[in-house]
Amino acid sequence: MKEIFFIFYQVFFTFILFLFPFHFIKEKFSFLKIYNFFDLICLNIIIQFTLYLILSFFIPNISFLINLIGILSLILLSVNFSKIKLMIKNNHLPLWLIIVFLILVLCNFFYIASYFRLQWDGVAHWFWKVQSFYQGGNLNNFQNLPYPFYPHLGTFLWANFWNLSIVDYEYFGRFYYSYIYLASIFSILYPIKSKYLIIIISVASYLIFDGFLLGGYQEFLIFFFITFSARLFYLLKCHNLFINNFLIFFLLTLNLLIWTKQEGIFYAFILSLVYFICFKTKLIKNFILLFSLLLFAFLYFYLNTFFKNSGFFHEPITNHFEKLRDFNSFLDSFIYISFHLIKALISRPIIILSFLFYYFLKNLKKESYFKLDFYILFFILNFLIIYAIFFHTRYELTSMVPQVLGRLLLQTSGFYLVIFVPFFNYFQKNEK
Amino acid sequence: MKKKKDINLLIINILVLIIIVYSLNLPLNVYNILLHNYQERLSSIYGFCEKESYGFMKKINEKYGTKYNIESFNFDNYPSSSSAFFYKIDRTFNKNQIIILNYNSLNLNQKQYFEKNFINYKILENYKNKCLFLEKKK
Repeated sequence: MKEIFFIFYQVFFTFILFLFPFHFIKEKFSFLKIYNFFDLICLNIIIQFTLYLILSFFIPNISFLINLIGILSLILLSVNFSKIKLMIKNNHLPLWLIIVFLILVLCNFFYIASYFRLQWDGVAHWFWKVQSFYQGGNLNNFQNLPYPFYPHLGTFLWANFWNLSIVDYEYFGRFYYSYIYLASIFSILYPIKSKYLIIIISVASYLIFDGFLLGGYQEFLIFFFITFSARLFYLLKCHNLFINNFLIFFLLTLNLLIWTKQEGIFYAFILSLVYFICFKTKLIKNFILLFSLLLFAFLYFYLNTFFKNSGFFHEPITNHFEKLRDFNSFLDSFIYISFHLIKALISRPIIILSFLFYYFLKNLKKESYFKLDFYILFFILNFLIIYAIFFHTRYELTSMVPQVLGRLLLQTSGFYLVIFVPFFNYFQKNEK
Repeated sequence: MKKKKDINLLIINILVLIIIVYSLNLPLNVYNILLHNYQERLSSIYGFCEKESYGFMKKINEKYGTKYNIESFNFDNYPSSSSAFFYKIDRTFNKNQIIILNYNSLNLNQKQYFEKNFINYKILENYKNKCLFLEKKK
């Protein structure tokens, strides 16, 4: 019973924690007005995680600070309660969505609590780092651990949320993965103007849920950053004036992406490329983005080498590309990867569904199928990188593709949710 | 008429939500947590001398691992080392000791591997010839 009580407490605490700071200053800053309730949760997560990332280089245990932010947020919530009551009185939808969101968060938390098994990578790679941070070790200690070059953001947060839990159970540290991925789904689908919004969001959340990956993998952290980038792209497309604060939040998201997993750096470059090609903005903004991205990449390699004495990839960037040299080998590999890609796409239907919606929408609007937009460009680059990873690897495809492909698809699948918004809104508009 | 439509919509929403909550096993998970405490679930998830063999690892680490971290080797289809569960940052690894997990002496490949790599070790703890704690002979 004690465990159940603390799981409920953790839902409450996490919800309160990520209301800080933007929910309390929304009224004072006009640029925040275009963001919905869940966008602001995502922005708060981005801001807080950036702060935690900076601190991770100096202080291994920041649970006191997280607690402090939680308490501050609770105080601000009590002070602003009358305003929130008024907002809910005028519009019931956010309240219903918050209730559904919390129910889904609770389902995820109870799933982790009941079946808290750490899966393969969790035990073999990530949990070592979590143990190190949890016991007060700093980044230097990574030199004594397996795979020291793996980025540390996810494990640092895992260890600190574990530290926060009153009952001191490891799995409490992993709750935040499920909270953030659900927040990003709600954020990206919130603009759908349909009476079936709650059903659409719930079904999308259910289709994306993967209990296996809540067992110590970092995929949902990547999922969150990529999904929120798609949300930012969508806002940029709809609100051109939004460009200045877009750049700040987009850059912070890319930086966090780099510090999450090794492939994060490639996703950061893909997302930047999508921005350069699909959004016509001033040259100076493009320059700022490119310069910042290169700086983040440099800092990533430099700081990793400085603190951990190991900052590169577990596979060499250049190798003999054996699979590309011989045509038969290339063809066999291509067919093998494609076969498993189709299998993985069927098992994670969100991408296929969004692709159907995309072409259905093009057909309805009588638009050209070949017009390049940010959705289709990301799709192409994402699938190119999947093939590139498997053609590049020195490991046997049979031991790698079936295990890795599904995860690679899941971590980017949130991006494709962006097409649900114009699709459902098109029908809503025509109904009226 | 509009009110009736609203009520119908509410019922559909609630029904879909109940189906999803049920599909995510919420009732079963709550029941599992109520029925089995954390330690019981820990043993059933990682096993005593099966899967990651958490139980055996714990026993050995409590008895022998007070000064050093002890490396482990799992013969089954699990991560080769489960030592992360008991890793202590202020201790070094004892290179003379190793915990063997899920060893099957009837499996020829495993037997050959064991004889090749652990011939110079003596057995300090033995659980059903499957989980062993070994120390290098001096």
